[in-house]
Amino acid sequence: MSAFQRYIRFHLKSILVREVVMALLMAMIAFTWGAAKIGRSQFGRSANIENDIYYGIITVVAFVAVIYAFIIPVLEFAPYKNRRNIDLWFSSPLSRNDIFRVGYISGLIQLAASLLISMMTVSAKMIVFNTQGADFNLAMPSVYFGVLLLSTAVVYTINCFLFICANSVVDGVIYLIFFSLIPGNIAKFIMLFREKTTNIRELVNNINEMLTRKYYAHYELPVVFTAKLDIANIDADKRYNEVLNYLDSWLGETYVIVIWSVIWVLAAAASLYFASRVFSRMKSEKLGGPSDLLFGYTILIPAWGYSKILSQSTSILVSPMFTLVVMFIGYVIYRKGVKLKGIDWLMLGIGAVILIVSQVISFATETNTLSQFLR
Amino acid sequence: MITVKDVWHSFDTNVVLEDVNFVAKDANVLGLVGINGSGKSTLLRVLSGVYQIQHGEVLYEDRSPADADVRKDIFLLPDDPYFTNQSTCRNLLDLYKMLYPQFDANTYKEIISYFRLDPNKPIRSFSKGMRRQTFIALAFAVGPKYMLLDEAFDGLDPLARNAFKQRITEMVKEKGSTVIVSSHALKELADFCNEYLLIDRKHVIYSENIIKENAKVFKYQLIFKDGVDSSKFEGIKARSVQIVGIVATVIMEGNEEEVKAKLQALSPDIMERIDVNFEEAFIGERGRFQGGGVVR
Repeated sequence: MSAFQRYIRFHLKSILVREVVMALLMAMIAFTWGAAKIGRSQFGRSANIENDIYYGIITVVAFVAVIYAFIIPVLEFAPYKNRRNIDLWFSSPLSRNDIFRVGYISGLIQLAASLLISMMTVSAKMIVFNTQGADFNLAMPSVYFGVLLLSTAVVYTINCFLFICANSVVDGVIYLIFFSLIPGNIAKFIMLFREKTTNIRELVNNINEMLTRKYYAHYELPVVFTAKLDIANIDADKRYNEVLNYLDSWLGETYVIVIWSVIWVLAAAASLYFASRVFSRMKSEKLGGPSDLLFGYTILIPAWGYSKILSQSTSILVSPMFTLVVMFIGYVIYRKGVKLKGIDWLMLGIGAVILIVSQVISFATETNTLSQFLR
Repeated sequence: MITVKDVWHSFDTNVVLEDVNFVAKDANVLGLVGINGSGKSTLLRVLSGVYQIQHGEVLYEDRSPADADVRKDIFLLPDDPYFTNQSTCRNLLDLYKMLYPQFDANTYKEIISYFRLDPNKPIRSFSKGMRRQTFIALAFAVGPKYMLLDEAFDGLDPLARNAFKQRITEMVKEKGSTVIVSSHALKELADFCNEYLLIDRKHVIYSENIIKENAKVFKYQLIFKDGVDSSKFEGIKARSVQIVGIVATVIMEGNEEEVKAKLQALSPDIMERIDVNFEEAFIGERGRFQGGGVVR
């Protein structure tokens, strides 16, 4: 038996309790939530039962699965952010690549096991209700959980990379948060930019519309996918092939989701490659110190800060200024003290310039000064 | 054999090891001596593969510790080893058995019972010495060709220390193992290391058998019945002069006859040569390296 095989067997055994607790928790949530909705339905009207049970699964299980995709990378890789642990693992006959693979694969197994048990619970519930007049197709939960697993696996993989880039658990968690917020900011900014030349009323309408839309951040993939499946289910004849047909039809229509999905799948593939590389080259002596990898605070603070400032350009001045303050706090956390480096001040300075310029443009647009000037 | 060639290691801009070169022969116990922060633990982590080599070369025979397969033969016992809140002696057995296929569970159990450790009790409830005993048991059960021990005797009682040393000596004889052991307890290293490494200010400054064979350091006790004070020794270039009542203890280096003649010139009533202990020789070496002078 190879070192990898020995370690994965040992590791899966040692996290068995955690695995069972997480899987049961998700299954219980799926089951209980669905039951609560059904309890409020008029029993005997099968259509309501079916809709309610899917509603319960989709809104809650997808949400829980996304949370797991954030928690599991932390649980799996946090031990390798501690110097004491590193003395054991990195001096042992396990290669760093094996250690990474075990962490990554066992995380995926936890995710899959949780979703599988939830699927079985929900399927069992459907079988029981089918005996009482409902008409659930058991293919549906299979498709639903399959799609959920693939999309959460994408989120999980990207999160593994982000967490591994950090030199401490706290930094890793901050990376996950920063990264999750950036795509939303960018989407908002793009929308604002597109609508800048229209009048203020239109702009406000667009912002409202935009705020209720999905931003297609990586963590939203599972929710978007499963919500679409829900739509497919409501209208479908509950037969597997037809569900797939519906899947095809909405995929064809909603090309934006397809584009985002491709982007995030590619990002996940790149994340997996770089996570393995970063882990194998990790400088153990830096653990606990500032997380100074390029893809870390160095990129995430300005990326989050600038996109946030730009996406707030029509709001009151306090909000983007608050963003600058958060950026400053981010640098303080990064440098583990208030003694910031020149590059940090430069990034903050650029943020301040962006703030001023965007406020001026915003003011000019709102008062039609810009269009008059351009004319 | 461990060959260390031109190794440098730094933490960002702080250079901890600079141009380290030495060879640790097979069937050898090598003492690693240095003050706090001198780089002992860093050197052991570089040797064990925990820290990737930034510059230079570390070879076990002709293979690098970066190769996971080589690390089967290396065991690092750090000063603060890893265990979880739930860890017991039994759990650690499973963990180390998984990591090191050659792990000998019988040796482990034998040492655990020798130290009278409860295999089912959480390690967190053990005293510092008991924890150390547990990890020593693990080290011997792994039975590595290369054993790297950081602050090995920390927290051990005299009985455990002796048992530990005896085991190391036996292992070195039987398996031809190479053991590198770092400690602040210099006296502890004196009676069982074959060679010593002295780390100071980033450098390994001495890697020969400094104390037992080559060092030309002499220690004399001189008794002056009419009393004595430090002014009597002003013309003498000594490493150390300590005066207690009518007895002066002098440590000097150089040619033995010359040293003897210089001291006899002071006309003591009784003069006797006594052994220089390891600690005195170490302090002397360190003082010389730092340009230190006479300690009075």
